[in-house]
Amino acid sequence: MNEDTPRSAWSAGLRYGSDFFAGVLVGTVLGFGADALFSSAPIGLIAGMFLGFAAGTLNVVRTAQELNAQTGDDTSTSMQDENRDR
Amino acid sequence: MADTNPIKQFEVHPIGRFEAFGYDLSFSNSAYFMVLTVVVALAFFLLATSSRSIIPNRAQSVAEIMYGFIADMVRSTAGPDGLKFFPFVFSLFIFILVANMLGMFPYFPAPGWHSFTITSQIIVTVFLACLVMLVVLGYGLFKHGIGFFKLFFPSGLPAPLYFIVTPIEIISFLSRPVSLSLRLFGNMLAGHLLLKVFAGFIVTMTGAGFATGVLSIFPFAMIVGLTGLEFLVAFLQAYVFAILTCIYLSDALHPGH
Repeated sequence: MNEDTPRSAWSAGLRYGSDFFAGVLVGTVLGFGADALFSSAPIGLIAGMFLGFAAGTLNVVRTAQELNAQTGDDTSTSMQDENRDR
Repeated sequence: MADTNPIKQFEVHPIGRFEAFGYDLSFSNSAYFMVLTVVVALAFFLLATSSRSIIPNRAQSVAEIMYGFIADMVRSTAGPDGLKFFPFVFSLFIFILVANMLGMFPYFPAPGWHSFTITSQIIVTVFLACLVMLVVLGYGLFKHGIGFFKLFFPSGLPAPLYFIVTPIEIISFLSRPVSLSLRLFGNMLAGHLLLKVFAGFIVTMTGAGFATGVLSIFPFAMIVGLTGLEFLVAFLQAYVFAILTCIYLSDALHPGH
């Protein structure tokens, strides 16, 4: 994927951002909804937010793996090259 | 003085008034552009593939390249058995691509002579994302039954960790339609806003006097660059939407890999 090198930085950043944001948003909304259902005021919101952060991070990690797989294994080869130099 | 309101391009206004059962079901400019998107896409592919020559002419080779591009993408991300979803992914890609490209016209034979980007309306992108998730859920449950929920229980973990990992996986799954729809909506909204804000600078600067009018060449140069970027974003977002659809479909095809 050499021809889309200039555009991929912009799109990759937006993908990471929206993936992380969506995880936090969904987790927080679910926690808030659980609070409204079980009237357990702040606990659900707090737990949901933390789980949402975790889910957002998971999303970002998966997206990063995906993008690395798409662009080929140039990072792994460059690391191998460094090791070879040593 | 010209109207420089950058939000005005996103206004939905009715073209033909129509009411049924007390609901306002008017045919709006948004609906007009959706119909137009389908008509343009259909007309292009009907015309391009009508000759069916062995040595393709220009239009036919464009259609063939698009077909091959999406077919390769489906095969590489969702596997060869994912090709049964090729019509779905291809329709989504072409719909979003043509809708984004129609939105790039500054003037357009539409009511008000202004083009309208339907993908800059969050309700449209949310519906497209929900459609993808419904297909993923429906096919996954149909194919694997209850085994589809192995997606939420990654194998090879100590038992107590499932109390934490399973909620995280469920939230991660639920966040997919949100990020899918927000990304397309946000990209199109932000790009078109930026274009119109810089265009508004030119009008205001030219109106303010001769010196600032000369300086308005800078926002103009900015618009030229941004327009190129917007064409890139229009294609890229259709591509990203299609490839993410393939990735989610591959979860439905083989969960718990």
